[in-house]
Amino acid sequence: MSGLLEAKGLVKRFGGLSAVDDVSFSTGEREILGVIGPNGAGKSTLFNLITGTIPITAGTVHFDGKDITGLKPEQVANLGIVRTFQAATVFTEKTVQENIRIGYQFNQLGRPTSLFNRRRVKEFRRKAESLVTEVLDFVQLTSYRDRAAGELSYGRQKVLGVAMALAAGPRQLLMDEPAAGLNAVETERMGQLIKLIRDVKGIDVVLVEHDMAMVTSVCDRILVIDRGRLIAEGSPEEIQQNPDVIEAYLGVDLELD
Amino acid sequence: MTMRSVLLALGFVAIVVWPFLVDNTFYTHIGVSVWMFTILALSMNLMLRMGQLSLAHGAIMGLGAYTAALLMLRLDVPFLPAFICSGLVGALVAAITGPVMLRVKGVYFVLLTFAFGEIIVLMFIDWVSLFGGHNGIFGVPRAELFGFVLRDRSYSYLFALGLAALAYLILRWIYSTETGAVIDALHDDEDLARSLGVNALGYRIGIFIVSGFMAGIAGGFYASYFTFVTPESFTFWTAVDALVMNILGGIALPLGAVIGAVMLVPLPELLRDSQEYQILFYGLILIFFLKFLPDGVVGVIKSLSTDSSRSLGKRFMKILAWRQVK
Repeated sequence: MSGLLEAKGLVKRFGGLSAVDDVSFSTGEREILGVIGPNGAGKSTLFNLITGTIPITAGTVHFDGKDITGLKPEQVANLGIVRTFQAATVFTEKTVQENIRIGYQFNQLGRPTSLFNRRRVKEFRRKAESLVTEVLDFVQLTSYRDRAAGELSYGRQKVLGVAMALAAGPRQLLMDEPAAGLNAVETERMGQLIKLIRDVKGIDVVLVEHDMAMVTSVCDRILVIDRGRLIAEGSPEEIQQNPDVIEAYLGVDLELD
Repeated sequence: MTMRSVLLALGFVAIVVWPFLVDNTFYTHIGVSVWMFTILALSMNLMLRMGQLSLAHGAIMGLGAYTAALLMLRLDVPFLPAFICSGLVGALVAAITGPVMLRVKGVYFVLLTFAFGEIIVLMFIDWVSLFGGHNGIFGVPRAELFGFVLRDRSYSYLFALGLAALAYLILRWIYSTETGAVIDALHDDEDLARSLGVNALGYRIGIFIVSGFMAGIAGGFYASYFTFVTPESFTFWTAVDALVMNILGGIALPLGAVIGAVMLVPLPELLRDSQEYQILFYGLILIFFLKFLPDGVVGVIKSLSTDSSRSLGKRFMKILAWRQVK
């Protein structure tokens, strides 16, 4: 079954360098799609193109049948594509629950004009409390509710970043290296959380990742990008055995744990 | 009633009634200036809170002042509508220039607003037929509220105090609502805010408009209080003053802008006899604050009220450490 997101012939050139070169892919419904590749392969650039953070040189992006090429990040987010970042990006001076409330608010009241819609603001305020509680419970941060986000460990800050994205009510989640900077236990938990997001919340996920163990254990399907080009696509098992992939990315003496 | 609220009430009464008790026109005049600049400092606080330092705010205040002056003198518009128009012109300028200027950030925005402000001031100077050139406009009618002319300085003081209090409460309210969360987010991590769905440019423009309105109102008050308007009063130094007030008082709370105005505005007036030391004094205070109290007076109050010993101790250790490095 086909999913919501479809990219066709995406190209991004920085001067003479093609950071992303003719990449096409589409997501599947209730699918966790992994994008892997060596450093500088263009994985994060791909996310930046989809979310409108940087302009596209050529190609199109469709979401739920709608052409979203060239939309601004906030417009893309309002349509239901929410991304998380490689670094732990939270508002460190706000508490954990405020951060989650902000995620919900920024989606519900993203336009300044929506503040004049009193009914909408009231509805937001009425629903915010229960949504915050629910998301906190879902990501298991309830006991940190009133702590400043900056006081949390790096791993929990990354979880909070995911929680904020969830509060924004996405239909498609784009996660940029969710395991970066996490230890083995935290990586394992993050993997479980991503699966729960798909299984319980029914949200499609695309994730860019370095951690091979996580990618192969979590993803249903994997795209491999090298020097901006899509060089392989398939199930985790297929990718692990693909000689091109082994040479380009994994190294010939592959050790998978 | 706690001790705190009694003290607050007493302080409030003292702020309201002292000009009538002291009855010294010079001091009252300083008081009026303090509250007038408080409005400008608060309008600057809005900009600083969202991470956009505007050097055009002096010029926007000037536009408000000239608007009120011209409407009353040339078109015989009564004070109140002219006064409100001065705010509206400030808001309008923000609405027109915001979509262009607010696309850039950091030092580029500072330079852009600096250039824009200087253009406005040059317009005041060179468009002699309308703005009166260097001489400006004289004979602006005094403020008149519901048939009552504010001839007495003490009444101007109350009017200015009322406006400043209103501006303060509006800022407190804005920061406490959802808009406040957006303002902080725009300052802390705009990419994150946008990725969650915030129309960053839209919010920036909206805040700039509110800030422009307040700066214009400060100008409208200026025109009727001084009864004359000249271009020199609205150069980028005026914006710098508003900035310094925020730094001295502390940007984190609107109260900081108020405290900064109370500290800074009286200085030039009180040091009038020793003008050569005035700038030096000003500079020394600024260096002291930037070095030791980067969060301003509000920062000190905050660290005193929350786990005082630890943060004060830390601050003291920091100062010591700095000395040793030296």
